[in-house]
Amino acid sequence: MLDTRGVVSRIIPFSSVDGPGNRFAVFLQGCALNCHYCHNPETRPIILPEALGTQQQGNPRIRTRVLTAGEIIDQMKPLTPFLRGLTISGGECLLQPDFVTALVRKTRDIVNLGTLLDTCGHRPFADLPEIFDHIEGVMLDVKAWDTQEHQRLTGFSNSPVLENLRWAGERGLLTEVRTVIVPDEFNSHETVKATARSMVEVGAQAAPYVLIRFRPQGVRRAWRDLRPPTDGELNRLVEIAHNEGLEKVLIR
Amino acid sequence: MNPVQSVITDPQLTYQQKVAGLARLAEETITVLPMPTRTTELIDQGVICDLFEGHAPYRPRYIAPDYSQLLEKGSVFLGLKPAKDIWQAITHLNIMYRHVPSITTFPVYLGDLDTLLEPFINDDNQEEARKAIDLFLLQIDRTLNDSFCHANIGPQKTRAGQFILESTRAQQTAVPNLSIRYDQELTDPEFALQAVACALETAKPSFANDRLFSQDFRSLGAENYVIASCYNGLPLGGGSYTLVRLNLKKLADQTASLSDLRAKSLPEAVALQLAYMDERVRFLVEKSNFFENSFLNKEGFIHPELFTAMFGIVGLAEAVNQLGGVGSFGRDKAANDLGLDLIRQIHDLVMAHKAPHVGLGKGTYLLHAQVGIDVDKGVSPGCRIPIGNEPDLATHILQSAPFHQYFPTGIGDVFAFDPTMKANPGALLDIIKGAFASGMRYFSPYGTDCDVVRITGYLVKRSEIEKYNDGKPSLQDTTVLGLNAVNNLRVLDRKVRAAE
Repeated sequence: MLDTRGVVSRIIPFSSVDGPGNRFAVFLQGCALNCHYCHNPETRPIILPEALGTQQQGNPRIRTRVLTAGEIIDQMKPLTPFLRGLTISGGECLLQPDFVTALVRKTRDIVNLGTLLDTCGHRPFADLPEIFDHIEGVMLDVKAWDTQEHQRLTGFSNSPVLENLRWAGERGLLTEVRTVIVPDEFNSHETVKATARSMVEVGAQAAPYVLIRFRPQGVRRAWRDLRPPTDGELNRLVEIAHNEGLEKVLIR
Repeated sequence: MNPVQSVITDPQLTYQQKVAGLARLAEETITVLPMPTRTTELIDQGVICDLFEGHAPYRPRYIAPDYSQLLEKGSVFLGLKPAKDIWQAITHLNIMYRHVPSITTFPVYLGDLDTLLEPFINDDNQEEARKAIDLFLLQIDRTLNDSFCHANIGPQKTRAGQFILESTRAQQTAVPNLSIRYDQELTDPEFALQAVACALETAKPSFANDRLFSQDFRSLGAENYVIASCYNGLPLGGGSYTLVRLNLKKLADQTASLSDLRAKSLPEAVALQLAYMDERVRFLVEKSNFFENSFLNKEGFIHPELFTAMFGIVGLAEAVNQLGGVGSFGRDKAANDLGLDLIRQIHDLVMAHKAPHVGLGKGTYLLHAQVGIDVDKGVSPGCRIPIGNEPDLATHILQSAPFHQYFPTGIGDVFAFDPTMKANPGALLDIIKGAFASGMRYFSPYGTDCDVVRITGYLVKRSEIEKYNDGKPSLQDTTVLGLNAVNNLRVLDRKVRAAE
């Protein structure tokens, strides 16, 4: 398992923005979704390990490389006294399930740290017990509640996302739920309200719901001029989520 | 201009600062310490430096009185009875501060303020206590105008400790310097997080590794330790007679090779500094009458047998880089190892020297990683990695931690954090836990957007520096030190630690 290979776009040894506490964050390359507001589009292309050499030459922004689970755990080892846990993010981490499985299990067995996944929820969690039986939780994006809006925003239906929200919530695995607020791209009132309601329904009212302010940094040219929300709009959304019974609603 | 006249007419000194300056000049007019020619040479070269202690020591440099006794029993000399409520307690303390001498004229240790005040707080007077503590801290900042005045809190959570952190965060003052003794087994996580959040807003408190300090001072025979001045570990009820420092960078300037340093110049300089410290201690204890005279000693607030003296070193990084030929200190393992070897050599020499009038431990002086003085240029504090050459945070901590065991009287590092860290103080607490588990003794964090900024060990407000730069006097005597350190030591250019 330690020699399972993955395509990694980036490693941040100490991250304070990828879950609770200080975390070792591994960002995997590749994401199927095409979110307009994606702020790290360079991590989207799905690259096979064999193709890496030529890709890297072609695009200086791609720092992506092939690493084994063992190599990553070797990097983590001397840092364990400082770490709350591992976060595997992306790109979309669940596009490389074997690699994630190896990382999650070996991180637990060798350095005794738990793992959080940061995922768009495009793959059904229920189909991946080899991962979900072994992680501490998941940070899940609900990008839009309405299926058509989600389709327009990302290129895909959100039915697996909403099913995953319930599935993870029922199992106490929702570490955090997030929605990026872009006022003119989708109905954020409806999304926030329905997401909050769904969380409460499955008993995840204590899980933090984070409303992320859209920022143009890193966004592709076609969508860079999308309008960020005002403080007033964000505060109104916080209130909506609170009214549904959520305990912790944050703006980031 | 005559130096006395220049102090008197200095447009940027307050009245108190002039009085202290004139006293220093008076002390310079006498010569009472025997001084070998070679010692004078090394002092002139800046290799040995007494850090402005003056020619004739008449008070210990650092005193850590046991203030609990003042509150419990009062003081005959000060005409104070035991304190009965929080207002009496803070008044007693304020009165006592006026009478605790030090190198700066201000007390360098203000007490374990939380445990001192907690007995005066109950369920019925919390709002009153909060107000009393707020006013107390305000008075400290406005009357003890020197950010080497250091208060302690922790390791246990108390209401007093929480009020102190609340007011500290709200007031944004340079004084007092503040340390929290932290032990992950003893300190309530919520209290620790409150301290972290406070430090990211106003550069204090710093975190002291309570387990390490406690172990070290117990093994020296002191029941309790305090953090005073910059980050100096001292026995409670005792202190340090003197602090003299060895500038390893300047010593390297005078030395041809690494082998010369290790075989000749370093042992010679250490021996001369030890002898010089001996003379200072002897004069203070035997001639100055301080201990016979002071009510602090007569009434048992301090005990001579709990005094030591601090053997300081500075500029290790530069000495290694100049003479080592094994790469860059902080970056290359061979250079780091050489640094450790040099410190072990100094440690062994100092531990082999029987010091006069030191009852603590085996009767030796203790090592101190001195943080520098404002006129130092190109000399890094203690064993620190030079600003501008810092590696990533984890590497930095793991590099510096092995040095900390040798310096019970103080060593530490200062880390600047991006303001985004405020959203996740738990991350910083994880880092501090890791640092302490790795052997680090003292950890000072601050947010880069703070007005209060940690210079080397002490605190200065950027707004006060600007005021001084405009030609106006500053309330704190430490402002001008901070200004010079900003220019000479680039302390505002520390590597900013962020998630990315």
